[in-house]
Amino acid sequence: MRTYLRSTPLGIVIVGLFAGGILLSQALGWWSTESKKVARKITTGEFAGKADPADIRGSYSFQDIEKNFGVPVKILAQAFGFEQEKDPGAVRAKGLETKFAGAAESQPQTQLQPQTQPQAQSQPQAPAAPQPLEIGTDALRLFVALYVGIPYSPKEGTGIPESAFRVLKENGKLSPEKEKAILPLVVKVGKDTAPSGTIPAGGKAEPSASISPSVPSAGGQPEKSPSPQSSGGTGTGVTSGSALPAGSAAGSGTGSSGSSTSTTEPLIKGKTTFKEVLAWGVTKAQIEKVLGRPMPAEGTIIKDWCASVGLEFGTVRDALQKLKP
Amino acid sequence: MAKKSITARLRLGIQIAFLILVALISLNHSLSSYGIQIPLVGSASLHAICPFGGVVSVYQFLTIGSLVQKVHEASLVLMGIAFFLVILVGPAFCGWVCPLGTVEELIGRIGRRIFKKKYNTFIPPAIDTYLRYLRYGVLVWVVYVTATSMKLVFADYDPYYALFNFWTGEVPLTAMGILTLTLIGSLFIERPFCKYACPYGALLGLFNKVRIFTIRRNPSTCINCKACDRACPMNIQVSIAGPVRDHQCITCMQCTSEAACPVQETVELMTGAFQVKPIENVSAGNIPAGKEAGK
Repeated sequence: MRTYLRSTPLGIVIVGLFAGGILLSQALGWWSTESKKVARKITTGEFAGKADPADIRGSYSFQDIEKNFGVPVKILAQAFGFEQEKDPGAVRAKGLETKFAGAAESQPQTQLQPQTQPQAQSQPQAPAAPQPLEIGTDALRLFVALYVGIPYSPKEGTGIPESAFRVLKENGKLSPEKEKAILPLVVKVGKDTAPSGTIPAGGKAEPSASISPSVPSAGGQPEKSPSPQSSGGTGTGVTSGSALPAGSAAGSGTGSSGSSTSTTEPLIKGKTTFKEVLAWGVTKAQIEKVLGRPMPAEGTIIKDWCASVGLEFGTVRDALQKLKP
Repeated sequence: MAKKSITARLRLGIQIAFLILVALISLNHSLSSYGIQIPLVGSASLHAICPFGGVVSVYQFLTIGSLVQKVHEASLVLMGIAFFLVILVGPAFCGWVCPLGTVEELIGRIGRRIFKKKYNTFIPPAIDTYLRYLRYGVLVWVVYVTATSMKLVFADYDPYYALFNFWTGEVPLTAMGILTLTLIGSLFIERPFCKYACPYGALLGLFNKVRIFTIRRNPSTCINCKACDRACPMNIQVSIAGPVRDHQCITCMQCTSEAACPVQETVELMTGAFQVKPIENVSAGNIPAGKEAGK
């Protein structure tokens, strides 16, 4: 059968299909252009059923975080220097990167002593390679995790502003062990976020700043990993994870875990792929046993895969590292 | 001539409407960070309203059940609509909807004024033919890296993303560079990104082989004036085709009897085939020897 379709009907078909398709999908509840802002729940372990701080996305506002985790907007605004904001509840996690962009990068590699005086002492740390810390969405994850007492492993290079550290401390959210582990991640930034007023008006960090990727372990030896869970016997309470099969999580988050993987340099890093783990001589079946599901393509970056399936990278990493012969 | 003008204006009107809509949505998305909203316009991220986001998410969706970061369900819906449309009428999405294609065309109008008949003929056909397959390489690469990394890797290279986000400061230099090349290239070549690099255009182009409504030329009424060839932005030789099955056709309708073709019912978007008139009913010399319908 021969049927012509001319320009005008074609135009109507095109516009109609898009408009009609979108309206229909809205009616069916399929149309979604943003994350629903409901953090996934931890499925196993001590914290099962609680919202997982690891699922905080850049698009989450402080209001969304209050709704999901019960951390008041006022506390978040205070911690990250948004008290003067007209509507601090609307501040998004991704906004932190912009706010703290220059500050974190400008930090020298020195370490703040546990007894935090506003003017932190400068004690150059030896051999660890300088690594700029970044205050962004992951800093917010870490803050929320510490505030609500849920274990969380921050990404490499994550820092939190000194103001956030103080808010945690003032609210009694930091045990001495947690405090010790968090200190190397504390970044002193500009006036608006550092209530101590020790920063000059220009907002630039002073050399007496407070970051270092080196975390002293229980034995007093510096660690190369900036992750608090690397602090071995100190038991920081910021480790562990949420959704792995029982027994595979490293650390309970109570400050007494003492994971065996913590005294050596992490074998699995942010860019490590499953292929590299297989190259150790580990079998696919072993990996899948840890993951609790089929392993993706070998070239997949483990960290990205964890993010996409909702698993806590730190937990998967620790469990996989234990497989190394 | 008035009718032909209406065809061109109708398409341009729809193209510009989609261009403005996408630009406003993207701008609104940026403004929403400051608590400002343009009324009656959504504020979705560009990734959420790009059907190609749905395509690159398919592997992850089927294997893991989740979408690639930053891609949302709306992308899958738009992908479904675009697939329905492409099966029905071919890649009309490219010719009538895609805002990047529209911008390329608008810049091309300047190029056409500058270079006149030389415009869109700078690349020798012998090279051009092979360059047209580059976009399939891009398609394979994008799908592969997205499947393995589970990230929107193409966003770092995507001129479409750059076009509607250049003011945000979030666009990587690579994407800005490719956008700049595309815009400059459009002064010399019609739709350069679509022809040589667009992975979504590559995918949709494959449906030209199976689409229901096809551009067809009626050899029995064709006067071989080649007006259709000159009108085609994708340099397809409509004048030697029966049904146009070229993978680059974007169903823009510029070659049809409504637009460029001077003979009624000779180049049409249609189902079925033309009735081939007996050769004696057509003026001598109007039909090139050796042409057959449907070839």
